[in-house]
Formats: sequence, C-alpha cells, structure tokens
Amino acid sequence: MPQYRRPHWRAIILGLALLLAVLSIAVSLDSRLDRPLVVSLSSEAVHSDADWSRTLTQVASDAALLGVACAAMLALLAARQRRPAVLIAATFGLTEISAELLSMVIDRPGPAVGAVSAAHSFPSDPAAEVLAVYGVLALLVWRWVGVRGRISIALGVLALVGAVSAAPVYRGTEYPSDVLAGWLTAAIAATVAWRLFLPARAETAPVGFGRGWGRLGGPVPPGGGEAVSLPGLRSTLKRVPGAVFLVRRGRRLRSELNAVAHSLLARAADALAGAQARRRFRSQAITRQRAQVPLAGDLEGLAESLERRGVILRRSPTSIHLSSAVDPEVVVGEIAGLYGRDATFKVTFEEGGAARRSLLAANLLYMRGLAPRVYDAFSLTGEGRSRTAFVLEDSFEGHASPEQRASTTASLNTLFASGELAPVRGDWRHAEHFRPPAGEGLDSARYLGFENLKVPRPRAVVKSVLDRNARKELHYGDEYALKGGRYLYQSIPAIGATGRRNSLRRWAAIRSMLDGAGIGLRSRVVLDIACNAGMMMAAALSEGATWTVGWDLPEVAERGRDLLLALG
Amino acid sequence: MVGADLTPDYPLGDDIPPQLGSRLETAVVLNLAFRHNVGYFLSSVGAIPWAAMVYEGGEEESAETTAEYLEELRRICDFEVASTMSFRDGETRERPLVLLARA
Repeated sequence: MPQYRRPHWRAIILGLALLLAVLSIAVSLDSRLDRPLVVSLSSEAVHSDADWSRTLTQVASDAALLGVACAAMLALLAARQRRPAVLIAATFGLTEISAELLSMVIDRPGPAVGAVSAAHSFPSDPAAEVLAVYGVLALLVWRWVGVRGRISIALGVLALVGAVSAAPVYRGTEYPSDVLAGWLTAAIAATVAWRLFLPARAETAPVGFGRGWGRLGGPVPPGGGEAVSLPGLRSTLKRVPGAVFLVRRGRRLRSELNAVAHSLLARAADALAGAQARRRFRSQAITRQRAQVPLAGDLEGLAESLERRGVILRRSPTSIHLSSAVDPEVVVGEIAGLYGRDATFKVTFEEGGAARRSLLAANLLYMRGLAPRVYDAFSLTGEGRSRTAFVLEDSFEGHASPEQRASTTASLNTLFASGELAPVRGDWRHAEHFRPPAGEGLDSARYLGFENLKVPRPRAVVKSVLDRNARKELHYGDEYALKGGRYLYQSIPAIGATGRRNSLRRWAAIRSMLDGAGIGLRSRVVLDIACNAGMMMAAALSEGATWTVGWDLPEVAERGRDLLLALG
Repeated sequence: MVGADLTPDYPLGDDIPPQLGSRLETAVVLNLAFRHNVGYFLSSVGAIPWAAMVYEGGEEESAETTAEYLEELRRICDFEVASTMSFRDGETRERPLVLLARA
C-alpha cells in the first residue's frame, strides 16, 4: 500500500509565497524584465500566426477548464467523495481570486509583441488555471495508480500545463515571468486548499476508489478504511496558515469590544441607579450612639461638664480631645470598647455632612503622613442634640522639632496650593491644631485639627488614588487595550469607574439575600475574604456595619486601603 | 484591610482586632468568588464563630459543583444552607450565591 506522507505544509506554502513575492517585486521594479525573451520566442508566431497556440489557449479557456472541473467534481460526488470534490472547487476558486488580486496589485501590462496583449498579464491566468485544475486532478488520482500510471500522469500534466502556459508567451501576449507567477499562484492555492480539505495524516491509505479518502469523504464502505467523521470547521480552519493567528486576534478584538460595551452598559446602569445609591459608597455610615454626658450648650459648656466628672481632656478651638488615659466609656458609652488601647476620642460640634467632610480631610492627611489615622466616626446624641465623635489613633510621638513642624506646615501648604485641601474657617496654623490630648502644652508634627479642613474635590482624590497604579493592582486578569490596559475588578460607583464586577448590583444581590434571611448589617462585624478594592466592605460600612476586616494580596490591600480612605 | 497571601492554613483570626472577639458570633463572612479561583477554602474560617456566610461561586458554576464545594466547606465548619440564588452583574456571567447560616 502506498504511504501517504505528511507534507510540510507551512514550509511549502511559505516557500512558494516567498518565490512569488520575489518575482512580484522584480517585475514591479522592471516590468519589461524578460521582454527580450518574449521577443525572441514569439518572433516566429508573430509572423506565422501559429494556430496551434490558439488551440492550446482554448484548451485553457475558462469554459473548458470549468467544464473539466465540474465533470470531475460530479464524478467524485457520485462516488461519495465530497471533500475531493470540494478541493477542486476550492483550488479553482482560490486560484482565480489570488490571481485577480495579484494582477490588481502588480498591474503589469502584457509585452504587446505580436497579438493584442492583456491589460494585466501578471500572473498568467491560463497558466494558473490549467495548473490548478489539471494539477489537482493529477494529485487526486496519484494514490490510485501504480508507478507507471504516475509517470504517465506526471508527463501528461507537465506537457499539457507546459504547452498551455507557453502558448501566450509564444504568441507574445504574456511574459515568461507571468507564467511562472501563474504556476506559483496555482500551487499556493492548491496547497492551501489541500491542507484545508484533505488534511494529511501519516496513515496508510487503502487503495481503491471509494476508499482513498475514507477519513475524509463521509461514510466508509463496509470493510474498508477506518470509521471516522468529517473534521469540524474548527480543526479545518486550524490547518490554514495564519488562521490561528487571525482567529486569536479576532477573539481578542471581540473580547476588547465586549469589554467596552459592557463598560458602557454598566456606566449607564450606574447612572440610572441614581446619585443616592452612589453616595452610599462615598463614606461609611455615621452611626448614632447615645452620649453619657449632657450635650446641651456650647463646646465650652461640654468641656466643663466633662471636667466636673473628672475626665481629662484638652480643648482646641473646634473640638475636645479625650485622653486615652481615661476610660472613654464615661463619654461615649460601650462603643468605646470596640477600639483598641491606642484609640483616643475627639468630640466636635459637627453633624452630618460636616462630619463626613472632616473624615475625608482627615483621611487625605493620613494618606500623606500628615495626620493620625481616623478609625471611626459616630454621632453622639442626647438631650435633642448631637455631636460627632472621631476615634483617632493615639499618635503622639513626642515634641516636634521646629524642622518637623515646618515640614508638616509646608506639606499642608502644598495641599492647599494644589486645591486638594482647603481650610473651613479661622487660622489653620493655630498651635492648638497640632496638640494631641496626651501632650499637654506640646506640639506634634502631625495635624490634628482636621475638622477645620475640607476636601473641595473628593472625586479627584479618589481618581488620583486610582491613577497611582491602583487600576493595575486592583485589576481583573485580562488586559484590554481599548480600556487602557488592565482595568478594575470591582467598579467604584462613587466616581463612576467601571469594573468587571458591578459593585452596586453585586451588593444588591448580597443584600437581598441577607434581607431575606432577616440579617441586617447594623452593628455587625463583616469579614471579607479576598476583598479586592473593598467595595463590598464599603457597602457594609455604609449600611451600618460596625467594623469590617478584609484580606487580599498585599499590593491589592495597599491600594484598596487608600481607596477606602479616599472614599471616606 | 490586610495584605496577605491567603494559603489554605492562613490564620484569619490573627488579623481580627481582639476587641471584636465578642462580636464575631454575629459576624457576616463574605466568601466571594474565592474558592473556584484558588482551589480551597481557608481552614481558619472554621475557627471564627461567624453567624452567616455569603458564598459566591464562579461564572456558570453548576449546582453540582457548588454542592461539592460546600461539602468541602462542611468539613471545616458546620452550617445550613439558608437560601440560594443565581445572579449576574457587570461583565460576568451567571454565578451562584448561597447564604450559609452557622449551625
């Protein structure tokens, strides 16, 4: 049995394509490259008007070749050899298309030595078509015949193709290089089509019509060949050179466009959700806590009341600091137990929006290393009044040197100058704004008077956090060029930043499930494993959760922390 | 927010402030889109006396797979399935969401 070897498809196609490219470039540089050869070959024909060349040209006419191709296809289909039939059609079609495209690119007129030349002679249509049809037919019957048969076929096809191809050159209507280009075009088309429709396999091909393409041509006659199905479109396409690359690029583009479309939809959905829903992510809920001390009167009155109870405190122009040396439960109640030993309390006369404003300012200062961390903020209520209590990290580290103080002041000035921060009232440089409760009479290098400051453009702060690599660190795995590279996993509703996950909808689903089970979040601890940007934690805090702890990779957590601070 | 490499035996409890200890019995744990990504649950989840856990699965995670994962979690801590739903958001496909109540 003849062995059907696996050709080196890619090498063959690339080699032929390279030759065709070189030839195309050569004739592009000098379209009359081989004109002397045409002149010498065609001189006799010009004078004798050789009829044989006309006859051969008719053998390779479109109608004749089409007739031969159709007859062969019908015969193959009758023998249930569908793929070889398709191969003939594909080879012919690919050859025609390729030759047409190439002629448009090269645009080389014929030599016009004798007979009327074609406007586009490169590549030669008759040469390409005759090789495409008869060459493929020869290859198809190649395996069915013995050595003598193969020799006969090879000689016959070579003679026919050679004669038909030579005729236009002999008649002075085409160049030899046109013929060569036609052959190369047909050879490439035939190889691609063969690769596409008759995938080679190192296998033994049974001899005999009806069995030769048992793997490829549908049902296998009883007792012959292996029972295999037709290759699917996917496996067929994979055999086309460059198809895998194109498919991958196509998928990538589809994915990119998909991501952009989803972003637009998510943005629209977020916009429809309304500003109220967005604000819920802007800051944590300021929970209410009943005060243990009378809140009536002004700040001075409150301070005196606390001092009468023995509470050690320090007054600033806008607040009262409670020293961590005393039990803060005396003032704020049992909620004080939620915070560690390093927490101090600062009571201001701010309420509602003003407290949130101060929180954003304090967080910005903390991120820049200019102020202690604010752990929490809650509303102290009593006697129909309410005050805001901030829980601060007790950060007093000793008396600040003049240089340290000057450095902090300079940094604050920079923030004011850039518009990131603005004073609310009075003189923010007042020494009291630098004095922590435990450091009676001493100045700290850090600024504690944040209630006197505001962040005029909080969204800009959030965006600046995102732009400092947070988009990259808080990414979802894929990178989308159309979306500026990596993009967020969780959307940030407060600034309309879209992500792979829509934080509003995701939280809504979680919340509905918790509501259905009668589980509220107020005063609960929420633990978020793999929290990413922390948007679910932010949502829980905005709904009254007392404390949240989230875990994620160090670089993710670092960015998420900054983001939550910027969001308040 | 804690930065950590969440290996299967990572001790979550060590990162929780001690003063929250008494409140953990009513805590809600969000275990969202984690198991299918890393291939395990954290064993220390069982050491925390949470009240409810929200489990979110992977995209198009089948009910069988979810049940299989939850059985895996049951070996860490006992719970009851309070409710289940499937949802999608943003650019993701359908995901299962399961509310677990600590038994």
